[in-house]
Amino acid sequence: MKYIYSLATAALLCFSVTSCDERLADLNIDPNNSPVASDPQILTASLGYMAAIQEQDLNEYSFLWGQYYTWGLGVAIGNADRFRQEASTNNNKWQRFYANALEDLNYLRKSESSSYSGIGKVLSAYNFQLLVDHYGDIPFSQALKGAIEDGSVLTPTYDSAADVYSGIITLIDDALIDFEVTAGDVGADDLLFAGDMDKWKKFAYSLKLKALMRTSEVSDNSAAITALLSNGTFIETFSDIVKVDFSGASGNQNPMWANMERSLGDFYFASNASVNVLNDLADPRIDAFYSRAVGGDFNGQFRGIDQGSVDNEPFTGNKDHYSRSGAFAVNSDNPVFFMTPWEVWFLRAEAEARYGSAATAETYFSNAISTNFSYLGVDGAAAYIATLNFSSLDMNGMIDAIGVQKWISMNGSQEDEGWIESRRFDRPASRLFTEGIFQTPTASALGQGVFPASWLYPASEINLNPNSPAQRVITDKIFWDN
Amino acid sequence: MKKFLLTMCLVGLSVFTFAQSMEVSGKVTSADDGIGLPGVSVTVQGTTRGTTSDVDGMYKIAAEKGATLVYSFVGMNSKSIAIGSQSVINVSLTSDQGLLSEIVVTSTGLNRTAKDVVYANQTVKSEDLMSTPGKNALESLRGKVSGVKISTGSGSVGASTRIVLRAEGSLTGNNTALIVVDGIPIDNSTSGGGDAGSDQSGYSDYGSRFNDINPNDIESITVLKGPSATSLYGSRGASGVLLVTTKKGKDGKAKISVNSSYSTEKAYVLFERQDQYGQGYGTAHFDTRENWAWGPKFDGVVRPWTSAIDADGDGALEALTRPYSVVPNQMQSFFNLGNTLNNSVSLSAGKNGFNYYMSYGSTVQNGTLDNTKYTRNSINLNASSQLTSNLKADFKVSYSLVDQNTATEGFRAFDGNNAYAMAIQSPNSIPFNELRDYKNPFYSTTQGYWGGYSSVNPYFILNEYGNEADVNNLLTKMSLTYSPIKNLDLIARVGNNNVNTEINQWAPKFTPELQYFWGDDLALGTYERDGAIGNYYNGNTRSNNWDVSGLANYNTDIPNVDGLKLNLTAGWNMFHKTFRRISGTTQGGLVVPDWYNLDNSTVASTSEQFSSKYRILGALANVSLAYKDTYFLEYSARNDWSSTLPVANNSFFYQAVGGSIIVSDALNLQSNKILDFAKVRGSFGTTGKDAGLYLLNSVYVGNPQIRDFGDFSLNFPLGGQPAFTTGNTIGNPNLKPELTTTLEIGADLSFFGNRVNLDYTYYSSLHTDQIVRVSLPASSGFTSTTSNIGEMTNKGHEVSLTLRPIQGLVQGLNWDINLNYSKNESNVVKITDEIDELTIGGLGDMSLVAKEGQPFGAYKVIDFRRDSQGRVIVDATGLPLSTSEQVFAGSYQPDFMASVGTRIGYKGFSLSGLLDIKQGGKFYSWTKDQSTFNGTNLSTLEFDRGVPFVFPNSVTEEGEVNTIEIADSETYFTTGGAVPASENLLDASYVKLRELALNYAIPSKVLDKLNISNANIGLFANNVKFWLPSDNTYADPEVNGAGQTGNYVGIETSQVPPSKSYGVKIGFTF
Repeated sequence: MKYIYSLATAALLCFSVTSCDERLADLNIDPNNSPVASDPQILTASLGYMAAIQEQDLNEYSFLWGQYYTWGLGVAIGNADRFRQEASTNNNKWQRFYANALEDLNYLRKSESSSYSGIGKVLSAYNFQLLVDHYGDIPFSQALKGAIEDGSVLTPTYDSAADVYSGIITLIDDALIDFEVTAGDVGADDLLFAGDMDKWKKFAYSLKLKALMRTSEVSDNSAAITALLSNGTFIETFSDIVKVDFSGASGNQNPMWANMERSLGDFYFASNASVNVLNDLADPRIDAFYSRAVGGDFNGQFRGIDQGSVDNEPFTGNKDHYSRSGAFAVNSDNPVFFMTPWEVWFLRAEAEARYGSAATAETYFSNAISTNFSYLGVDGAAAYIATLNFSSLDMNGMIDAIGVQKWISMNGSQEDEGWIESRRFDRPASRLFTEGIFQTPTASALGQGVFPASWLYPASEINLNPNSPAQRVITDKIFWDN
Repeated sequence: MKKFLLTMCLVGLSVFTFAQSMEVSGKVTSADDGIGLPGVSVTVQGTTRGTTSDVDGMYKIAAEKGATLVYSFVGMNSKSIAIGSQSVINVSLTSDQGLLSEIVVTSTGLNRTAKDVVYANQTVKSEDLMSTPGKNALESLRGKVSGVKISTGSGSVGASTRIVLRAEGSLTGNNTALIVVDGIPIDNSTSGGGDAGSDQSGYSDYGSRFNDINPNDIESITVLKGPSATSLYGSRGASGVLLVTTKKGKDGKAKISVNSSYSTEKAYVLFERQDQYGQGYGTAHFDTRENWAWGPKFDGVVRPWTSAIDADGDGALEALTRPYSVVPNQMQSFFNLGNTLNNSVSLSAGKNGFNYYMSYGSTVQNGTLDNTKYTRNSINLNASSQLTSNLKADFKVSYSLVDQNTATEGFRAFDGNNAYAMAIQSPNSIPFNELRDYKNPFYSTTQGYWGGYSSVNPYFILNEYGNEADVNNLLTKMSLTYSPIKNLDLIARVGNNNVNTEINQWAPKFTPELQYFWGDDLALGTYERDGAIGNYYNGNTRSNNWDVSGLANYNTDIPNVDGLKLNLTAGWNMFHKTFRRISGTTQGGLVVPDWYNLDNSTVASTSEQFSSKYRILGALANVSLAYKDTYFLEYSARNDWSSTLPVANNSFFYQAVGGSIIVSDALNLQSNKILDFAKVRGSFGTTGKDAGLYLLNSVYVGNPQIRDFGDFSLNFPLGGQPAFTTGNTIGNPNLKPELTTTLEIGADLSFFGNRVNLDYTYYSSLHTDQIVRVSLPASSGFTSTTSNIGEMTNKGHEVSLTLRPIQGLVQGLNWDINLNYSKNESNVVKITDEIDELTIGGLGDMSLVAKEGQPFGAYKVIDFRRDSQGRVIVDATGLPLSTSEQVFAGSYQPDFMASVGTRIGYKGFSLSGLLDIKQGGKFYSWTKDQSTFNGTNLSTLEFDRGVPFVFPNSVTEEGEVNTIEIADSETYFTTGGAVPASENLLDASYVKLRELALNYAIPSKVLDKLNISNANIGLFANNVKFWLPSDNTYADPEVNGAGQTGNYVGIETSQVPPSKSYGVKIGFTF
């Protein structure tokens, strides 16, 4: 009986005393996750996510459309190598951009520390540019405002790609203002520069140059570019390189290598589109990018496969009889590059060629190639540069030369940027890639001489966001592409 | 238990003594066994005087000569006896066989006759549950109750069972029924190494915890579906309740029962393969490492089929040969013959108010997959004691120990994941009978095994990879019933369900030797097959549930109104659950092969922790009025306080009202020859439901995984730096409880002397304010939030019909037919103003969604792109183009479900059968997707192989009739994206001959000499025959869903197929 009374008493107590509510509320505090975070940990998270996006979501896909690699022996030909894309392919990629990387950067942009907020803006600009360069119009001004304190915008509208580009420039300019305050509070959590804010400034200026130059074919940014070239500081040497290192230890392996290792392995072979250009130019970097055939009729030579034509090769052929990726391209401890000195030298060379002095352009062009050679550990840069006769070229010829060389130098490190830039350098004045270097896959879904120019919007975004535009086709061009 | 029953006796606080009165005493016994019946109501007709019999069935009452005594007891036929001169009246009551006087357990956990109950309910008794033994208790409900959807996660041993009553009502919440055992809600969640359903590529099904109960201990299962049904369990019972009553001891001589059964199980393989083309590609090329069957036509010529190895050490390579032809019954031969041995012994007795039932049960099951095994040992004690005349105590302790060694499920075949999927990834010329000897060098994964890439001998997977669960499930209960005054019972009940599960999973470390495979013209090629770095996972979970309730129950006659009775119940309930999981995983592979320990890790093992707490309190009241046992009215109300809702909204109230009329009594139709009984009933009410755990606040995740790449996953810290990331879910601090409003009307009819019984129910449920996990477009910065939105309706009909057409016509011959039919219409009315679709899950180019205007669980798939005339549009190479967006293509909701059960009994013999029918609904078949690509399924013969063809009924993108030839059918079937996901969506209809049983009860004449009270032997069979639509030659539409007991079902990923079983059983009691 006592028991019953005590139960009844407990019940009554619980109903009559408000502390019961509090006790219930206490039970609902999630013990598995933290209610708070701070800038350093958020910065590390965003850089880790960005590295995985860059290397696995982008480079591992674009190295096919950029025609560095093609589908190899032993597997049935996939969509990407036939120029088909399913919208669902991009669900996770899009999600990782926005919900993983950019949302964390959004946290940094709101930081009270000017260094962290500036870093948040630079890295946001970097990601938004990548999104535009693949998808065109994207949510920007209303994006990342889902949180209650940000206004609970759950279905953001889309901004035109050109407007996003303007927004990117503003973000970078704001970041540069932030960087004028020396806070000194960023440290080893900054996996790129360990808190060296001068290098962040170089990254910001270089990124601005990249954004301004991207529209070179459709809008004249020459004044802004000229001003930037004279005021800015830029990534020039290996110590400025913007990369995230991976130790190769379990859990910290290069994302492209790790993905290949856990699935079918590295079944990509050297594309003849690349091999042919490198052979024609007698480019010594070919030994860094690709392996030589071991055994078979081409023993000791470079032997690629025509882009998207693995079906023409013997199915049971020996993989070693072909050229495959070199260690520089795929390895467990390779870094992931966001920006490299040679990329920036090429941008500056092109800016000079278009808007400045041809002589300076030539210097920068040489710098670009020689830093790439030197990073790859390949000798003979000067002799190779001499064979290109840059000084003899007119502006159109200089742009073509820069286009080809830039595309080559992105091999193995920045394949996605290589594909993006191949679309820009393929211009009405010179169909450098689509009517030159690139090969039409035998099983192309697009037909002869037609190449993809963008990605499909992810199925999940179209399903869930009523503000999404209609789905596109992959031959639709981004606004800066003509 | 009978002592625990409420008796409908009258309040006789004031007893007047009249001159002619005398005292009558006697004993009330049960006609079934002659044992005294306690708690029988004895009243003097026409007065308010009455008493109840004591524990031995003895009673005493004062009455006048010539008066009539009425003896009544639930479940028994009442008896009226006029008092003559005798002062001792012994009465024997017969049990009431009519369906409508069955005892049912009500939502307040108390017993009542079915006649009184105002809402739809259905009870299945142990003999029907155990009609064919060898199943778990939920499986055995299949086809026996209307409106119950049961699906299983796998055909492997000990797999989980999902049970949904009527239909899913919650868009993203839990939709499975609450299971209550003897008044204590138990934990029926699944045990897993991780979050079940989150990883479809490889997971193991360690069962749902109701499976741990020994089915032999179950007396009955009552299914409550409507809102009035949920008053005791409140929020938790919002998806319906299964009330499980276990066996109790009865007064009298000790009874010992022994039940044993043995059965053998044969995999019911539904996947059919083509038998014309073998291993290789291009219709011309032979390749012994290839998993494709796109090779040359079978010619019967003897060729090597294993890789070449130097088996005898002489420096030369050898391989095994066989004719190049299909292996007969190949998929069937992959499986073993399983077997199940069940033994159960129970002892029950009662004396002087102390009753007990104790049992031991053991199940040993060897699965159809090699090296899969399930053992369950359980003990159970139910005891009750009438401590004093007004205080009774009940105790229950049940403990189960389950050891399960199962297989990996999921869509990934390679890298040692799903062994059955790996078998499906084998060409039709591979003899599994031989591969079973997986250590033989010719079949060894590291030596002569035929397969290339990262393929592994499936028997190596089954024997060398580990998926073990060790479950300790303890259910304890005690309750006290105190009756301070007549007709008032105060009940206090405390129950605890504590489940500890240890999971051990491992993958071996191995490095294959260089593979020498055979190509065209038997040229030898070499290939470097992938190895594995090995992995070990150890996880311990502890789930602990407390359920405490106090109930008061009072019965009275309303003074001055003849025949009006009142029942009042009020109570309080608290449920508290804690859950904890600690796990460790090796990182970067194992150092030493074959040693599975967290210390054998290449880099430091990682550990993970998850814990949660949850509490809900409830206060409830229930009032019911009965007038002349003919008109019934019931009102129930409840208030819940839940820990998962914000303080401002954590208290919520809901109520239900119901009524019924026994029309046959009201209109005095008893003399009617056709209609024996008619009852109409209706109820209307709401049920509240609280939120899931931890949805109110946004959080940051410490050191998240960057990318799940299996053994090569990327983790923080990176570069030695720890990382925190914003969680992907936006917390909602303003959540309110969900509300379900249900209207239910129905009738129970009985005709022709109980030969025809018909129960019909119509229901309509409106689910509003749903707490929905809304999938957000990632551009918001998040992927989901939780919100009170969404509206869903379910409307349906349930019919159950029992026929006894020849009852009483031939002595000793009985024939029962039971039909159940249910039809539900599910409709997602609204999600939000902005969003009209929610994602439940998906695989490849298929998404499973909730979408406005569609039934819950709708499929969206990439389909062929068609022009306005329905012709398929092709690309420049003649291959079909697919839609740029996913299109709707049906749902997993069936049109209707039905079952037909029948039993013919003659003297000691009985023959029974059960047919189970589901019509409509779809399921997504990964087996079809994979076997299309591999060229092994029947659909891949559609176009002649090796010859160019134009895709039928197709046009070019320009709209012209297509004449572009595709090189051959292999190109079409194997080119990524050419065969759209819509081709893998199959009709989920079936007709299954679920059960067949023949039983013989040995006549008592024979048994009496052996001192055995009854004995029976029987033969039984389960899953005897399936009839499936002609397009389903792939898998059982019911065995699916990596989500296990979640909503993510209807997706088949080459799970272990179900089994046919044939067995014998024997049971005796003495």
